[in-house]
Amino acid sequence: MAVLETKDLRKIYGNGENEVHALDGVSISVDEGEFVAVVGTSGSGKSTLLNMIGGLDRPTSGSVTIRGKEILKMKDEELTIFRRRNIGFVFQNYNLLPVLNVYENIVYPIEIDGGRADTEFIREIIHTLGLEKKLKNMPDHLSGGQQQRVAIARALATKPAIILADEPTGNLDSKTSMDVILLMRSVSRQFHQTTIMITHNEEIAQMADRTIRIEDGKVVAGGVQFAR
Amino acid sequence: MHANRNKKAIRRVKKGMMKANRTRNLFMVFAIILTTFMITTVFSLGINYMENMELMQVRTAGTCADVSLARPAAEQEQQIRALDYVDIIGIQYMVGSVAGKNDEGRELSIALQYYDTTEWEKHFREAISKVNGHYPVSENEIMLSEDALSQLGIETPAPDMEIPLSYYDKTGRQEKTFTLSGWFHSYTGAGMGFLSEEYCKNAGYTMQEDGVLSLSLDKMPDDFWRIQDDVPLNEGQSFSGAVSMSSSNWSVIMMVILLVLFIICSGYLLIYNVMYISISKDTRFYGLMKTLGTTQAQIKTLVKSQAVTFACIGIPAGILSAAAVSLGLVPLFLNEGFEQGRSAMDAEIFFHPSIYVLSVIFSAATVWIACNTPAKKAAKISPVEALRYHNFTSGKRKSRNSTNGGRLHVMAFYNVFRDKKRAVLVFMSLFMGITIILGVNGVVGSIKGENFIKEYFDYNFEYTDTQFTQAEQDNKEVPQFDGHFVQQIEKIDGVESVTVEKTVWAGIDFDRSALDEFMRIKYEDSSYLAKGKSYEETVAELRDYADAGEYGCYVTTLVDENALEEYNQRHDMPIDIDAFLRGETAIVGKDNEQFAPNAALVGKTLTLTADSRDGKATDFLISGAFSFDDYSDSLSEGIDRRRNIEIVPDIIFVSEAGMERLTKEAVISGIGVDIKDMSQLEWIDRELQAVNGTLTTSEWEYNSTVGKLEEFDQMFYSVNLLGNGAAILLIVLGLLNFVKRSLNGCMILKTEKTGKICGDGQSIAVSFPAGLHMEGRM
Repeated sequence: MAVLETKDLRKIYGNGENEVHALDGVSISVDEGEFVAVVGTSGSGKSTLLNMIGGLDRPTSGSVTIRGKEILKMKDEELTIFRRRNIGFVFQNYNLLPVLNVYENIVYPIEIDGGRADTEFIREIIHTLGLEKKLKNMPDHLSGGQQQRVAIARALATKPAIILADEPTGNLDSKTSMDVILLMRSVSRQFHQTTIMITHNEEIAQMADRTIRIEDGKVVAGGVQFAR
Repeated sequence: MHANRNKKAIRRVKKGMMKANRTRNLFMVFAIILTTFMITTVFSLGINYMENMELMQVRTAGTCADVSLARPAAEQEQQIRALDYVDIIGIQYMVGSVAGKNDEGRELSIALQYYDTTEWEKHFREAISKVNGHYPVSENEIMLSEDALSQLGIETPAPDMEIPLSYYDKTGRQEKTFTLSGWFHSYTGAGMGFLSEEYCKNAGYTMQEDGVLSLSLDKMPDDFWRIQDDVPLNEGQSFSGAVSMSSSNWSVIMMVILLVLFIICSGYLLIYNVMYISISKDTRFYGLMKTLGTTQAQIKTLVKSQAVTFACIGIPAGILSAAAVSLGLVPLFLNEGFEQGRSAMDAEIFFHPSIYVLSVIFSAATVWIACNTPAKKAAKISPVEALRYHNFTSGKRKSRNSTNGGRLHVMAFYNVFRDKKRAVLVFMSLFMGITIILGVNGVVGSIKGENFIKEYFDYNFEYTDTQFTQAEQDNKEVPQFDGHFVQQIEKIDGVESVTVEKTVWAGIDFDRSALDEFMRIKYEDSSYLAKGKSYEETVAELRDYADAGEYGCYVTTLVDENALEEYNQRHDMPIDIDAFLRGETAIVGKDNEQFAPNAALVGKTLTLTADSRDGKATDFLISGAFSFDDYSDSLSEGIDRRRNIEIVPDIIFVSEAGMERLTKEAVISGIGVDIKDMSQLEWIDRELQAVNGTLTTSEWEYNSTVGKLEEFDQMFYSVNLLGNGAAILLIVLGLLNFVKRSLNGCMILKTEKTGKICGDGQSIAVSFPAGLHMEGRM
């Protein structure tokens, strides 16, 4: 069953001669529990696609449907609340809140939604990601790999519909990168978590269940044939 | 779906942010303390000024009552007691007055009265201070004001002291030895003595013959007019009371409002800037929060709750420091500002709750308004933009094809002007701040008190008979000063000259041919015309005044004869100075450039008759008409009218000889004293005050430039304080903006320039701070 569908997504920056088509009719579909890699060269439109799917930016035209809801029709505040309940983010530079410790960072999206953390589930995530001894640490006292594991834990904590990972290994050395990817894949499987990962690294992309290739704002492989 | 605010999560982030931004916190708290301090200080000064003004009015009036009615009939008393808008009714008996003379041979002036408990406690107690002892209870007890004690030559009063008095009461002259039950300080300058109820009973005093009902009304001035309609009066009776509407209070209120607005604006800018800088620095942080699902409302709450925390620390601290400073500042500002009559008022510090309530409200409102825009900005940060944000200032940048780009000073210059608007704000703030500091301190430093006195005051010390300066004078003026008093002043060592101005009210013969032109000009600008009365009707009314002996004005001696020569240089029709000095001619005054009715009297002859025992009709040719530019002397400046008749010369000046022709009984209306050496100013002031103590009259004012000098110092102190305060605010604002500029620039310096710097072979550790220093110097 498709948890995410995009239809004919277009994003145009500038106008006239300076018009740039960052996304040019992107239609993709991702099933629940799938671990998908989106690959493409720099400037191909990967990050723009991720911003559209995550509701961080609005397209020029097209639609994004997550769990049957068309998110781009929502108002800003509604979209923000939808985002915190349905989308988890993992960024290249981790983007942990520097003023909160590891545990507080993990449960922040739950608490900001007014909910109580599912302690059992959180403990399981923490255990799986090997963060038990770091819970009280502040982000600046962690290594890059540790920070990214915290970011993954935070993304998983709300049991979102999709985790969007934007170059999650971009700031890590190759060994740590591989550890993180393996971890992401294993938690995706363990928690049946749909994950879309953007990367320009072909080797990492091959670890995914499916690879969607984007060039010049268009899906050239892996996206269209799965679209329904 | 609705925005869900989880306070716990927000509180946690807030706590973390507070810990992480200590410098920002310090700036914020400092800004709020500064704003609150200044707002509280201005409120404190303003409210204290107004409270002291009220107190001064009560003290100079000698009562809190609004209206009084002398010798009320029993029926009138009943009517008054039945009125619902009469709040307090006090009873006074006019018992008599003390007979005898003091050591200087002057008649003693001590009124003996009786006040009932209500009158004493509710109407009189607030108008006096330093009360010792108690109100007389037994027949032989007496309570005296310090002025009365001074007139009686008692310097150190003691309880139960024997006071032998010769006095008049309703039965005639009495000799009696009283026991001093108490004494007090009054501010009216008049000698006062109080006797007991028992004394009045035994001596046969009654309300109808000797009493005064003293009333506090509900709403002034409306009830003042109401009571006159509600209580019919007998012949010769009138309600006396002053309908005072203090206009100076409004100017103080306006000044306070303006100052508070200025401070609020400065405080707003300061707090806004600190918040804005902090939020700009944390753009990425807020964007991330939004990415993670924090709503705009939650981000606003986060920003505002931080501001509330700062306000909770800054406002009480600001108020406490202002309260502490007020203890010293308020008396300094106000003590000499309430000089009235003979007694300088002792300013009292009021810790009025409204000072602090208003300060809290205004400071909190300032913080709230100031943090509102930054909070909105934080809430509106786009997550995508924020994730790309690297603390760089956006905007177009011109390419610079220069080979100087690698030099530190060039880089510093370009970095300072990276954001032109902000750079202009920084430079303007610093420029204005420094200009104000230099301006205020330069001006204040360059003006010396002594020069100020020489420039703006005609005499070092002045005495004025206040009977002549009142808007209307019901009774004939009673001399307040005598020749002996002038001699006493002249005898003081260091006194260079004593100028005596004499004045008498004189009736003017209603000679229509002489007055017609003058009256026509006056009529055109009068309320008679405004009310629709014809000129002839007006003239007829004026003639009635003349027939009743009320058409006239004050005639005073010209104390500065140099003014005549100056007048002759300025005017085409010169005054015959010799004739004036011989007393044959007079000068009328005072016209102004737009309105010169008095000039129409020049060349006419007026027949004046002084209101004195020897007053007889005396002709004076009017040889000139003074305008305000022609003659200005502080002794004659305040002279008003005895009867408020609109169409009459304001004042007529004559020479000493002219006054002699008119009357030999002119009253000394003003005395100006100049001294030889300004360093003796305070000493001579003390000597004069000692001489003043020998006067038994009370309707005069003593103005010393010692007080003016202190007022001058205080005024400049306040200019200093406010000017420098404003300047510091502006400079802090400028510096904060500079810090913001530098912080923004740091990223760029680090990313863009260090590459270049290192490429040039310089080390980052040395070059980076050096670049910042250079920006600072710029």
